[in-house]
Amino acid sequence: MVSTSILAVSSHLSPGIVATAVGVPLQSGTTIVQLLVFALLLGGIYGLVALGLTMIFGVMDVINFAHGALMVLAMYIVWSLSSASGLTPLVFIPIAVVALFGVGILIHHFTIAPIMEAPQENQLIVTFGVMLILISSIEIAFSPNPRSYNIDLGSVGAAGVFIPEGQLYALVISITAVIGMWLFLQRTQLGRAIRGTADNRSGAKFVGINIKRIDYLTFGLGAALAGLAGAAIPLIQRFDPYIGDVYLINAFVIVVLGGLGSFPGALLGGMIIGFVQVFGQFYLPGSVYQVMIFMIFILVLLLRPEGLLGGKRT
Amino acid sequence: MSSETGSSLSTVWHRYKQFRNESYATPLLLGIIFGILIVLPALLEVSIAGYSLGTRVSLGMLIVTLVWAYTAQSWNIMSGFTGQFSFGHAAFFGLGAYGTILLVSNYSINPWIGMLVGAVLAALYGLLIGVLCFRYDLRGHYFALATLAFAELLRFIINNIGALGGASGFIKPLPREYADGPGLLAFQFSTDLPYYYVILAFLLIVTTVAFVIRNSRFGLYLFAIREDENAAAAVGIPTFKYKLSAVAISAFFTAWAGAFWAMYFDTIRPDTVFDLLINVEILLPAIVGGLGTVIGPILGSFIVTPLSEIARQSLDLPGTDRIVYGLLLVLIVLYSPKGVVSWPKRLADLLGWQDSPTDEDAVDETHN
Amino acid sequence: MSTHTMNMDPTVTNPSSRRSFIKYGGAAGIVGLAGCLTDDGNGNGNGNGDGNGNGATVGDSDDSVDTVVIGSNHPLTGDLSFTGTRMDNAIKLAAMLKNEQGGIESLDGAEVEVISEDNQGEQELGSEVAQELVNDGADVLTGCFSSPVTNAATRVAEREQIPFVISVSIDDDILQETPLDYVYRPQPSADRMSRDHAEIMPQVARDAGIEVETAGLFYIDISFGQSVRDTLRDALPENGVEIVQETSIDFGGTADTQVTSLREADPDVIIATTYEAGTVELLRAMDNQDYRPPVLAGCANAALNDTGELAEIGEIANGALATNFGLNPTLDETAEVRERFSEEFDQTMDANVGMSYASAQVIIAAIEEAGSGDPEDINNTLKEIEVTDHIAAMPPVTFRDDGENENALGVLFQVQDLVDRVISPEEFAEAEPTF
Repeated sequence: MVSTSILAVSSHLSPGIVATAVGVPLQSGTTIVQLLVFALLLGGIYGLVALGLTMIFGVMDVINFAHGALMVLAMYIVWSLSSASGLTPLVFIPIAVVALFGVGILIHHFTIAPIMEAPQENQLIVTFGVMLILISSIEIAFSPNPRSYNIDLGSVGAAGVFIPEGQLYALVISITAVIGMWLFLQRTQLGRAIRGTADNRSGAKFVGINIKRIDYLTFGLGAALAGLAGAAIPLIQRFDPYIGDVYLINAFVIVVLGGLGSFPGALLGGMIIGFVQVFGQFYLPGSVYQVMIFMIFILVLLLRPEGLLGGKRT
Repeated sequence: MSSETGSSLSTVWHRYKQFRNESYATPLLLGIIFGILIVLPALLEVSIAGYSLGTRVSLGMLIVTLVWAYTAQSWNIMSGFTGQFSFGHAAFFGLGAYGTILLVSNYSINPWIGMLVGAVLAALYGLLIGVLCFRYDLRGHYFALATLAFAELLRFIINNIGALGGASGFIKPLPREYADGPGLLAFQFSTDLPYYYVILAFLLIVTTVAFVIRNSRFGLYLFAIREDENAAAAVGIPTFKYKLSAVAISAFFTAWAGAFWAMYFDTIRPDTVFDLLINVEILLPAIVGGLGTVIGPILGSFIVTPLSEIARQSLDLPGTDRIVYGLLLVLIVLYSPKGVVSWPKRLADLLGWQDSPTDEDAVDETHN
Repeated sequence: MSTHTMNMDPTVTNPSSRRSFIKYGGAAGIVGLAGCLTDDGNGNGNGNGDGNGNGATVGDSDDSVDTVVIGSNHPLTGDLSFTGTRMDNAIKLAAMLKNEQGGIESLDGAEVEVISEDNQGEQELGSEVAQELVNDGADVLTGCFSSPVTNAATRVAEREQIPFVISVSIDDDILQETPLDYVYRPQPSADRMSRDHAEIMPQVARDAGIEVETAGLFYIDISFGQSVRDTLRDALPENGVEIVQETSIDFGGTADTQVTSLREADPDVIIATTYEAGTVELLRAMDNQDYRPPVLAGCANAALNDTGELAEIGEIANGALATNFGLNPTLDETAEVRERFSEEFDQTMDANVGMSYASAQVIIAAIEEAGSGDPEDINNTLKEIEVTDHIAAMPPVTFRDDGENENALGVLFQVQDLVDRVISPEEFAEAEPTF
């Protein structure tokens, strides 16, 4: 890869570092297994984060800039309830998801529904505005101080390979959500209506699907999924009002990689990014892995814009 | 259904409508706008009844307003005229900034030359993006996300290459290190006022370019592509070539703003000039003002930037200004999807001055 | 507390100082609830626009000065605001304590007033906010944490001829690339601290019989992390330490993979250079992988100097060696200030916050010594001043021609019982290193 060779020359690494960072023939088996575990766990989280975005993107063709802000809102809902009651945050995650569904319906009603037929850029600006409103409100209400859930999570380990419990819970939540959404979309009348709308909006209208209602439901579900992801993030790290940004761009990448509106695709896209990030961080200097991520993204966009698991292009 | 009281205003509106249909209308309005902009810094000092504009509006804020008006105008040529929605113009902005400051810092090359080098680089990068995306027929959101990826790519590449300044970027050198001293030639001044006129001159240039394009056959083709690309191709317009030209021109001019930014704010880093937010700030005035119009980006910037500034200055609790700003964005887009340039007509509609439905098309401001 | 060395009539007290204290105290109470409200009661609220809200500041140089205004320009919102709001509070606390003690003695007890504005961590707002603070009557400025923002703000100070004492901003270029007449920086540069760290940290460990021959660097991949990394690449080998692994974290990232790569390289010491969150994540990941190097260290690391963070990190942080600017533990005043800070704002001080407090002390000392609220007088005093009464762990602050503090110093701390204790140099040491 071009950029790495430039890097090797320009970053003044002493020979010792190059040897450890790049030139070692093979890492010990344990390390490789550990990295695989981390990649899987990180991929699960990324997949989870992308679910809500792919839902709204796939069905409504709206890029929801407020996705990260919705995640953050859910974090603070869980944190507040847990702090106030003294109960474990885990029991409040479903409450946050339901609350976010409601928030999503409201946002759709007041900002997206009126301009569904307008040019795409208008929806982008509106969701950007919503993001500013949400983040600044949270900032004022809760201060910029970092917070963490009042929950003591360690890790389970065997033979030198460790699995942090927080990451494990997040992965379980992610897989459950993917299966649940997949079943909902495949097996229920409403789910089929949503898929029909995603495939062909005008066609769906002809067969009697109430598109407007589907849009409300979609945005609500998308926000609820953002809430689920947001509520899970503090299981693995501290959070503050700004953490949504960290995940947002990756989520865009994952949605396109996996294919718009595809839940298994989101999980697969998340896994790909998780693997690139973990192995990239291990083998490449600095944040070069980010360069890899965007190159892969561009390649997939060009060669298979419908995404790896997407159907035909809309 | 004109009301009695509104009749004289209604007459004014009809006069205005007639005027807007004249071919000289847009250049005349632009002339008035630039006339105001030329004397605006002086107006800041004027005090009326103990109240002067300068207490609310600073020259620095006007400069930033003009920067975003300028970038929006540049962005508009590609995205407004041609309909290829770019969400990655920070790439071109950043290339302009880096081209300028890297050459002057490392090789003492005059920043004006650096600016042109940066602009050519940006145009080439734009062509690369265009060739790849158009060849593979990316449209809509896919195209927007691809442009964003190309911008983020540059950010991370530069961040990881020490020779390009890494994450620390560059600081502009003193004028005496590459020129006789501060002044136009050095692209460095000791006060803000000359910077204001430099960016105003940039805006005049890009606005002229945009106006000329819009009223040329080239512009006609661009708009045909925006309206229906397949139809345009069907009647023999070489859409690929025209889209590429629009991208290159837009990228070339956007880079100038990056160069200006670097010289005005002294320091650049990958996370300032390639920041995600820069992508938004570049396109926002055009959308708020009126996509695809020549006046829109300028009006839009003079709404968006001062609004956020006034909100920030008048609200004491930090953060509330962003809430107000966010609300205003939402409201503007919801209630004015065609932009500020459509306000006179909307006002007329609201007050019932339109004579007949056919009037609607007669003066669609968004086509000026 | 006497913030200057001149001999003044100590009997002068100003009746307004008590009112001022109440004013600040009331505002500070709000801060405990909402985080960043403090300035509104007395800051841009009444000073905005016409600049005559604080009428007394207008006649700067005449004898009847009863308020001198410090303009504080920090990120109060956005992703730097966790630190930014606390830095701003530190400036306010310095003024508050000065006023409680009778205000500026050489100005017959004139009050120090702080007006604060939010630069949101944005370059273009750095200069805007500086200008507004000047328009609102600031006689001296401070800020801005983020170096590009500071850079923009100092240009305004230079143009308006208002002295600017940097609270914290690490980028060497701010002062060293451009000659500035009105800008001063009490804190040590990243370069200086990194060199000290590379020299002293291994020595302290070796003195205790611990072998330090290899190091792993863990840094945040932004300007500040990269510049410390670059200096350490030079300086560590000069001190017999070979860098065997480098790994970075991004803003808002986690550290699992990085810890695995450090574990694999197994260095004698790991040196962390991050904002607070990065080090919290590093230690969490170490804990999760049941790994700890023989020596854990930090260079320009804020988390290891913040008792609030240390309490949250827990046991694993104990024994860590960190180089940073910090507060002088040998002074009683330091403990009082720390306690008062947590009382007023319900927050803890880290190195950046402590340094901001010391910077405000420098400003106040300059006003005191100038005996004037006039920016030009304050600036001339800053050029000459030697500030001995400050709580930073460094010798008297005195500025070189380029505005850098000639005696700027970073000290070496060790985390003991989850408190950061200075162990070197000797004149500031409060504890012996333990391993």
